[in-house]
Amino acid sequence: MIRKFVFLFLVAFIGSVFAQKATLNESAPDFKLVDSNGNEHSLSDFAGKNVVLEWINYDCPFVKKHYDSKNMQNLQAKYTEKDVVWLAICSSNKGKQGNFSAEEINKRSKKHDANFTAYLIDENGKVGKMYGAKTTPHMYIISAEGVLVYAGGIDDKATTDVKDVKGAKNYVTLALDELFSGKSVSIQSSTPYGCSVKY
Amino acid sequence: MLLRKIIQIFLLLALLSVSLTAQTRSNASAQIVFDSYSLEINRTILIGILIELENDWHIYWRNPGDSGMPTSIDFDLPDGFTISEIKWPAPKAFEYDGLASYGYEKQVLLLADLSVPENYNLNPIKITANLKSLICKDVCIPFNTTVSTVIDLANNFMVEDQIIRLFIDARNNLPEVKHNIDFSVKVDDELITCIIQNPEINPAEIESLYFLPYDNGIFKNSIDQKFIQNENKTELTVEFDHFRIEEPKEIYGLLIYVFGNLDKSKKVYEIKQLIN
Repeated sequence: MIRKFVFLFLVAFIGSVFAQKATLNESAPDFKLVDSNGNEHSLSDFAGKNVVLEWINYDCPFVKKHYDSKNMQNLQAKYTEKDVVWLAICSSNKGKQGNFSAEEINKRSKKHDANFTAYLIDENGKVGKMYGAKTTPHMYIISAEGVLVYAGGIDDKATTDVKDVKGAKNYVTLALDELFSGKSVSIQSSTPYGCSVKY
Repeated sequence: MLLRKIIQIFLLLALLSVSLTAQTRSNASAQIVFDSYSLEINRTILIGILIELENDWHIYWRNPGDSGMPTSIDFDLPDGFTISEIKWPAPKAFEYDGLASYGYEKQVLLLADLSVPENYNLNPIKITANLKSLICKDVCIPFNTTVSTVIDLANNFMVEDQIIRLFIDARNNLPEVKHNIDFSVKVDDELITCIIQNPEINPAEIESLYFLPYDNGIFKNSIDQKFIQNENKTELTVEFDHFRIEEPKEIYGLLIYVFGNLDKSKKVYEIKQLIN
């Protein structure tokens, strides 16, 4: 009995030590999360498609900048029309900013005319930590081959000012357009900016 | 002559009425203060942007760390006047849920040198600072404000005691740029080892030691940096950011010693070392 307990403990310990960590140019670690409509999604469900992960917190001023300006929704619409899967992920813990009921999420998403594929709830922060998500927004792009090809900020203007959206260098657009042109992604990482993820 | 004097006084009063009130936005306020000066002796005036925060709120350093936003200040000055880069007092490192940020709580005075042109006629001048920043506790809000003040250049100025204390504290918290630290680095795949020999420090008194980079995105932001004593040298390990934006060419930022004495005193140095 003790032997079995020790074995299980070791398996759990080793599993946690060697938990997958998202790394550029390596296979993106798989995950399974439930969306705001109660549907379950795994990253592996979208094999063969380019996938964007967008860390979100509707009350963060940096997220507001990109939603109030419609920048984020326009990107979502433009690329989901091209068969990109766009997953907004919220890793706000219970009681923390950005953690809403499913009803409230859907209400806010509708108000913003959000065009993502799904809004995934990562309340225990497991997926956020697996991907090293630090800020909202924090953007990741996974190629159709399942490889992480971009991690970083949405653009190069680390401000909360809506006026700065115009003229910013948008790294997500740049990376996705390069993928669609059959090129390799030229800027694979940038410094993310925003509110801290509320783990 | 009298009319001219009246107009001058009126102008000065009008400018002062615009400027004297500290600009307040929600949980923080900002104002411009300046140190004592005598233009006969020195054409440079030390000014400060005093930012005061409600309890539990913080504002960010030039490198905000894992989240937040760098504080930035643009000045509007009369023609011919120039101002230095901001001199940043050493920030505090905060860590929440494994994410590290660098900034200031309660109060900070950001310093800059204002240079008065030689040929200036010494009329009062108005200077304006446009502050762009973010303040956070468990939530964050933008703190963007414009503050102005008037400086009477015709007369010497002696600052009040309360403000003198702020300038002294801010100066004491600036990093030492000229020092005799022997600093070298050894690069590994995912980390860098800084080998430090500091003749001003007794290694046995160091409680913690950490490096805060000026630029974000290359080194892992952390307040939990490991160091060991190796004879008279200290070896500090700094990890690279897992998603670093480029391979580091230099290590540039602050080296902060915290001592194990009762008041947990600090010593802060600026370090700049090329990486081969």
